[in-house]
Amino acid sequence: MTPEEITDLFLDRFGDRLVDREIAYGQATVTVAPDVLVTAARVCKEDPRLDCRLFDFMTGVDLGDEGFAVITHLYSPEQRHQVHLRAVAPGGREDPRLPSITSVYRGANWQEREIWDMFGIVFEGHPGLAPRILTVENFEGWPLRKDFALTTRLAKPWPGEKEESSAPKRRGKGTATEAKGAGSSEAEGAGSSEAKGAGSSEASGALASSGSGAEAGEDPSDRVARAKAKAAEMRRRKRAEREGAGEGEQQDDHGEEGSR
Amino acid sequence: MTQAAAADAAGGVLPGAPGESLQVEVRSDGDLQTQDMNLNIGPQHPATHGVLRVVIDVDGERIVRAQPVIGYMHRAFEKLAEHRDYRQIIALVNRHDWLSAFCNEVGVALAVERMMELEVPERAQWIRTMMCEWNRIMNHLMFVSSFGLELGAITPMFYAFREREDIQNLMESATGGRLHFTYTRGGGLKDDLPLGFLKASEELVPLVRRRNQEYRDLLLGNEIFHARTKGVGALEPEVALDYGVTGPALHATGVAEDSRVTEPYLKYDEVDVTVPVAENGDSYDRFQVLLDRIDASCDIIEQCLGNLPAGPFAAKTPKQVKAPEGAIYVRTENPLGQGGYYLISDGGKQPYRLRMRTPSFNNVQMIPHLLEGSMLPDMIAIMGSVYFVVGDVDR
Repeated sequence: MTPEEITDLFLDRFGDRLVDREIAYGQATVTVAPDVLVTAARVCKEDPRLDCRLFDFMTGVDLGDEGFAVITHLYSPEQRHQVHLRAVAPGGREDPRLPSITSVYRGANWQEREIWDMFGIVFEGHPGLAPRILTVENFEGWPLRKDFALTTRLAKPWPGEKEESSAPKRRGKGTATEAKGAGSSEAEGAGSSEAKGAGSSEASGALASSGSGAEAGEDPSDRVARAKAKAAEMRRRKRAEREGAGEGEQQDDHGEEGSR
Repeated sequence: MTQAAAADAAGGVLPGAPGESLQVEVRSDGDLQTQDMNLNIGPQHPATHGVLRVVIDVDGERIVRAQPVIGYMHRAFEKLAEHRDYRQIIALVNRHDWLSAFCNEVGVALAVERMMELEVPERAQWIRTMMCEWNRIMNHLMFVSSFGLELGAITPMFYAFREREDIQNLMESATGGRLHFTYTRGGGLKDDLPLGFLKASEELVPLVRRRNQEYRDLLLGNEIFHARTKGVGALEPEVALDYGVTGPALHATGVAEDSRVTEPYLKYDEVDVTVPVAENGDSYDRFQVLLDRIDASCDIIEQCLGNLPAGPFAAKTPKQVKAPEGAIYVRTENPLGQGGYYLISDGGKQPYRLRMRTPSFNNVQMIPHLLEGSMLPDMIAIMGSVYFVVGDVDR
């Protein structure tokens, strides 16, 4: 089945319980209401037209204020088509809950445990989410949520980072509806502006991230000034480190002499 | 009586040999007492390929419940990926499954390239295809030899590492790495192939094929090997699909689902890809599929060598690789099964979310299904033949 036929099939079957449907890169993503998620999974598996017998993977996505979404990827080895089954967990960021599809696909067991471990989404009807599958038992927090900071980055500036990292942008939806259509022209734009040389990466960046106003609207001279200030700061820090290390070495030397 | 004479008397089978039928009668209503026991195998057990722990309940020698405990090697790769740009991620994905490093980095590069609609030069695609297959052979040689080792045959381990070493040298000459190649770049490759690479490849392929036949004779021709693996840990195709088991373990059940054929990437649509399958899905079949896959990879490499065009090895890419807003899922057939990359981009230089679908995770989840009801000594044959890397499970 083509992706269009798949989304149409879901529309026929679920009507207004189908929240959203989109096709990007030839892959169909259907968003269903949480209360019909298990039914939708069963349709994917048992409807002879879909016949998605290969359970592939599940993943959680942080949607910002909207909460979390869970995407299940299913594949049909015979028909060679795929379905991304998506559901937004009700309960926002405080208490996200979704029905478990372990009764349909056995493979969902560990995948749901991992999503609970990483995002804190509770799957109702799951045979046992605890103990935490990947992190340690007494781990606190939900590591893949966007508000869970990567502590190494807080403690030490990342040498690969050229610009100051802005706060992660929240996405309205897990997947972009118009991305496919707009993508081709943007890619061309990025390619041609690259040929011009200096400043091209910013230009292409602005094109590629259409609508992320902050970066695009910024004056380039501000950026240069900030980069210079940062470089000076790094140099200063490095010098301080070097001096600190030098002293350390000297002390070590003394220590050795003393022991002799 | 000499041994030969004894063998003649027993119809050509030496006394005590596996062929001789030794019958032990066990009465089910007899006095044989079995005790329930909770046993902890691992985390450090030589048969678990890393730090995997399996908690089993045994009734006598029969496993009644098995529960793998994973997470000892969890390094939060998915979180780290959200804080790195796309070039850095290629170095990152090299590391979760260290035996399939090149196949992994190609997967993530494909996802970014498809989103950016980057045109990758022909030559780069052919080289990638060839390197994927070399990596596959290298991976399979490791499991061919280690499976023998786990069943008590030390010899294959020593022999298989000769070719592994040759292939590793070959890949090192092109990529500079022995384990973590990091040869792929968004839009192509780091560098072109070095002088003499093609000639060395051409020479190595027949050697690998010949030696593979030797391993086949050595192991599949061994009576003990048959006794340990035939009918042990038989997996049904429906169950395999339900758990999302892929790779040799799935092919052994008769399902020829292989994304190189069903959803071709790189140049797999222009070469003949043979997907070896078996029927019974037991440990023996899984092992046989693994050996057949080495031969199939040899065929693909020869086709790549014949088709390799001249030209650039990398496309011109913007200084900063930024995938446009959206989501894409890319599946690749990695040595251990299907690898998948679900990339969600918000248009920035770092992914918003990168989900790594790893074959080992799903395969290990299925292991209790095989273990429950089987004998404790068969556990080694089952776990060794599902083929997983613990780093790939835990990420």
